[in-house]
Amino acid sequence: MSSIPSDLKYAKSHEWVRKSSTPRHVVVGITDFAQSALGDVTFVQLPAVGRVLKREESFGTVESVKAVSEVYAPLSGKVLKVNEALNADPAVINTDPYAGGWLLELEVSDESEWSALLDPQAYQSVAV
Amino acid sequence: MSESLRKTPLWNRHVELKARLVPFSGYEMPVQYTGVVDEHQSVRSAAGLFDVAHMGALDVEGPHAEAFLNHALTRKVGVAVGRAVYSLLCLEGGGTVDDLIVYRLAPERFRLVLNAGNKDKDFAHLRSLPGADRVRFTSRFEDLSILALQGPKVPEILKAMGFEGEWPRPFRYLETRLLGRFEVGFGTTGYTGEIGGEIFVKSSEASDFWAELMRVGAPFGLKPVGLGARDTLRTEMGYSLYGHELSESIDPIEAGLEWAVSFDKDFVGKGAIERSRLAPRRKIVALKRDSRQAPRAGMSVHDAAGAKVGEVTSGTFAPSLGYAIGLALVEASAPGPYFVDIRGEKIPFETTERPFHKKQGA
Repeated sequence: MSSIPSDLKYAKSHEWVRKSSTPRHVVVGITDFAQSALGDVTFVQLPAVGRVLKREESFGTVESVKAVSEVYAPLSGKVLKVNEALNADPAVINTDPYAGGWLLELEVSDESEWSALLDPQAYQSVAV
Repeated sequence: MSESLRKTPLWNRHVELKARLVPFSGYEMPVQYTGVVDEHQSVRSAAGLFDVAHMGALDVEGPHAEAFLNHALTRKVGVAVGRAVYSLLCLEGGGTVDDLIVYRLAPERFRLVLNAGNKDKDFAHLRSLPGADRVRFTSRFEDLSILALQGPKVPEILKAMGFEGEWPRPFRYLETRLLGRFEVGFGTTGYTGEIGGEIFVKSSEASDFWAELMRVGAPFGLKPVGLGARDTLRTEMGYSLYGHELSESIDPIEAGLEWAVSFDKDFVGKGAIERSRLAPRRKIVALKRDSRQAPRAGMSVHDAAGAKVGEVTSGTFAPSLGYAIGLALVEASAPGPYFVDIRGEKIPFETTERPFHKKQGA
């Protein structure tokens, strides 16, 4: 069973979203289910800070030894920060997908999109 | 979805070990148990056990067996009894039907080990060749299973299993002997670059033999290894994989396997392979880059001017090296430098020599 923290929101494409302490700011990563399906992560390509993403737009790739997977913006917004530590140690996505393995921080441009995200129970049915 | 997948006699072990199973060459096979990188490192530093029972052993016997195989295969099989050679099976046009290991079990008895996805095709091809009616073929596809045991700790593990004597050099075949309570034959061959062997055991005993090896080997760090690490290990050695660096449209010269061709004998495909040797159309090149982003099979390869000169045949992040490596089939006239198109971006790669992974202290 993969872990699905109860305090997060999720996208069908297996990204998680956490509200930051600053209003409209959110942190995004890939779920435990996604990292487990990929296997050992060996490379992560992330967007430039400042890039404006549309909801469901591909913003980068997460590569494992055997697979390349695109990652999608769960909400529209501007990239504020990316997790530079993943360049040197992308395997943190495997060991700590919900904290150390975060991918980027977004400034959300359309808060109404929040309601389209899945709650943990709804995501559970997708993560099979 | 119609084709049902076959299972090797070790399938239950993989399920017990909670392996991730995938379709491979018509079989349901483990791609990983604990994780590709962990399994890869285990083979380099200790030992790994691989289910290669989907590969096919084919025995060829009789007074004409040596002459038949010398004509069928690119490389001379006239080695001493108890030795093995890597060879290729080619078409008249030079394309490669399969790559294989030939073990000389006795003066008039040879064992071929064929790739899982090619074994039926190979057997049919061999039977269609002139002289096939003068040798005796025995398919061991069902009654024999092959397990590969690879890594620096293998001699110690086998000693603990009851193996006596000096550990033999690579490419030897040791006649049938008892290992614990199992009757096995084994070759000191493999596809990882590490010492070790490929062990032939009765299919009816394969599952018990696997369990016994794991029990005895665990204190030495032995782990089961899936197809994922099998591929990263062989890619680090720059070894060809059928369907990637070899195919019916790739000849041994293009594949960089001239060393596995004996031009001083007659064999199927010799004329075409000699012509390719004089004027090869394409070549396999080894590429590396100080980055973790891997080239992948099928990505296009370009020259400095941007023209497409070939395709990546294999590529991965190399766990033992910490950077990206790949093999590519390119036009022989394209001198490099080479650029790999990774999702729309032409990334420069450095050309290097095979193997990528050089043995420590060897």
